[in-house]
Amino acid sequence: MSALADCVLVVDDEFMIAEGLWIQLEDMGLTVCGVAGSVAEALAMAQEHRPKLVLMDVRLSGDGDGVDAAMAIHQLVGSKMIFVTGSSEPKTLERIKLDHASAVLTKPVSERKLKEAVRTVLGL
Amino acid sequence: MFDWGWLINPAATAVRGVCLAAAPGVLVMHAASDTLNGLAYLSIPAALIIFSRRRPDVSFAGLGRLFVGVVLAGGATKLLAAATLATPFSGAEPIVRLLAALLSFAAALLFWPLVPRMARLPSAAQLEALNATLHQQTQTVDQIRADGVELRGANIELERRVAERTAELSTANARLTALLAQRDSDQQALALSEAEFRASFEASAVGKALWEPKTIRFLRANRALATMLGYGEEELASVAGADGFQFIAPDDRVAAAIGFGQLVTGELDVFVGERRFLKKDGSSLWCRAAVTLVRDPESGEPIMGISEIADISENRRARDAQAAAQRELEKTIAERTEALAQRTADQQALALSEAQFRASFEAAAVGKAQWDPMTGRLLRANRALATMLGYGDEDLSQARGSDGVQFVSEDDRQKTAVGYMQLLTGEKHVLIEEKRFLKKDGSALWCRSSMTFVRDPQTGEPILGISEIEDLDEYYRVREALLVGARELEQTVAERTEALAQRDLLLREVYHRVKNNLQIVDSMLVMKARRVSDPEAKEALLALRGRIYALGLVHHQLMNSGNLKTFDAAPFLHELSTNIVDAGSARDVSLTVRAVPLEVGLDFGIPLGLLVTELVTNSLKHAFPEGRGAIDVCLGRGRDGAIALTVSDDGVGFERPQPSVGPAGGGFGTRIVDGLVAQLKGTLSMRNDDGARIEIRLPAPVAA
Repeated sequence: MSALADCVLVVDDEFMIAEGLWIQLEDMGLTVCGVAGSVAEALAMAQEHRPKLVLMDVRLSGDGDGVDAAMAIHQLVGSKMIFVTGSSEPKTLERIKLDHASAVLTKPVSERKLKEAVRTVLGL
Repeated sequence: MFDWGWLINPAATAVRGVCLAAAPGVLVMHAASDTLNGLAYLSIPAALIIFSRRRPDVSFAGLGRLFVGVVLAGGATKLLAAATLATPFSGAEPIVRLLAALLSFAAALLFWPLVPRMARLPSAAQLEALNATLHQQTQTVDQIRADGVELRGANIELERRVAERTAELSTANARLTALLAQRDSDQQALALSEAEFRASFEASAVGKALWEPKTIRFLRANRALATMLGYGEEELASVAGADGFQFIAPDDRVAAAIGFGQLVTGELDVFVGERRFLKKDGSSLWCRAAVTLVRDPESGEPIMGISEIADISENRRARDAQAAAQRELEKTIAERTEALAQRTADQQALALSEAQFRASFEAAAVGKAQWDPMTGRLLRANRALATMLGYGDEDLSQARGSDGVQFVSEDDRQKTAVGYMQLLTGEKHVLIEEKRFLKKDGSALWCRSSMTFVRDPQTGEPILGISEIEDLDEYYRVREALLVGARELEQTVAERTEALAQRDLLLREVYHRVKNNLQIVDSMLVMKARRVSDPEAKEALLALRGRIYALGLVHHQLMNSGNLKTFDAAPFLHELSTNIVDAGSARDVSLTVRAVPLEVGLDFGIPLGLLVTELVTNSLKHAFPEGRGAIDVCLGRGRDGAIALTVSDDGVGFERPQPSVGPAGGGFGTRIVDGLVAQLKGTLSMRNDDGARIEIRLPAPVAA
């Protein structure tokens, strides 16, 4: 597995939310390689950019959800994964745990929690 | 047509006329003679008739009448001949002549055979002589007749005697014949019986002896007796003539003698005794002897003695054994009798208990039935059962003998049959089932049936089936109603649960949406803050983010709570305060959160979260110019149940109390705090006590 790019992929089908996260990531000095709104898009972009970190929403438009996308990306690319979810359904959380998630943040995500999580995951 | 004319035709007489025409004298002569001749002829029949009237005994009637005919015909011929001379009716004359000729010929034919008979007719003289003789004879006959009557009387007497004598002789003969026949028969019988006696005497398996009654010496002994006493066949002869007593054991001779005496005197006809006989080798043998005397029928003197002697040594031994057995048996019988008495007592007790059972059977309030265990047929049912099933007393007696299973509802017959088999096989001793019985009107009645068998104590075979049937219908109806109620309730609960789950899902979805929207609002603030260059404006926007976070956190807490309506305020305050303090730029500010568990709903949680956010943010902003200090958040409950929220710090304290009047008055934060405290109908107090200390007292949340 080749090296990963020093960038972050944001996966969320809500533009506003993806935009907010993007800004906060950039404020933290990170590069965002793109925003994906569906599982297929996320997979394609992850394989294209090979980001070292993916911020993954659970509910996505189209088939499948964030957990499916995260598992595929984890296997195909090997990016670190931070889930950002509005849901705290036990079933969803169970599935997230199976997916080697690095962190789970619940919406609304405070700036402090996002920073903490990213720093921890990337070892900054 | 026949022509009768010739009869009167004169021409027909022409020939005769010619002949007579010759001489008139001749003609007259003809006429006279013929007329006289005819008249004479005609008188003869008259004479004959008169004669025949007077002498009816002369039996020549036929011939007489013929003569009458002949004479009449002859007379008529002569008269016609005379008439013909004058008047010519010649045709009739020959016919009359022919008739006369035929009659004459016939008379001649009959008369000739009569001549001999007529010649034999006696003459009168002869008859006279004969008559005289007859008279003489008649007298003789009368005399003889008188003598004959006398003789006949004597003869009859004689015959009577002969008959009597004959009868006597005949009777005597018959008697004699009968006697002879009887004697023959007796002789034969005697011969036969003697033969039989001999045969039986010789061939008998029992010892037999004949002896002379006076000397008591043996005349003869049979083979069986000889053998019995140990004598050989060739020694039989030597036995004859021996004294009969010498064969009897000395100990028993007296008894034998006494018996013999009784026989001789006629006191006994047969003497039977058991005594020991002496065998040839001197040993004794128990025998039963039957002794009798044959007496002369005339004199009554005994002429022969007969003994029958049977070996009873074996019997004797058997009898000894039997006696022992008898004693044993008697003992057993005594024991049995004892046992029987016991059993009788038991039976009486049983009878008593049965009587009690019957009484209880009839009087029981519970339905009871008895039935044949093999056929399943009802033997008896008590009144309670009948009443239970809607039968009258009469119906009940009719129900006897009917198959018991027909009283069980068809739905439960299978179950009953299975249970019945378990009873029969002994798998179960009592079968208790709750099942439906059929009432007379066909409706079903829930009952509890206890079924059991009375078994034969010896064979273990079931001899009587007993059922107790208890009416459970009321209970069942109630239970059924309860079950229906319970089912309905369960369904309602299920529906409610379903509805609740649906509601929970919807609520979670709503909370999710709210959080998502708050996240969008947060993003807007982030986007806007990036574009704002004024530090104060940037800070204000960031402060707004803090308040948004508080709202989001409340929803997050609600979403994770069990009931989706309330959540514990303690961890919420901890999380909220920590987030504010950590997000602050001051790194050396410590935070303590102490909170009692407090269930709060959305209505209380949102204002509470916003209050804490404002107060903690305020402390961070104003209390620590040096960037160092401690903040304490405390949530407590007073004795009156009121909630006390205290946020204090060890910072610089208030410079002055800040009034807040109207939306425009005071700071933004102060305005929010005052408004929220008022909303919650609480009071706020603030003072400086080694730092700022703000205390808010709130009535306990209603929802919690």
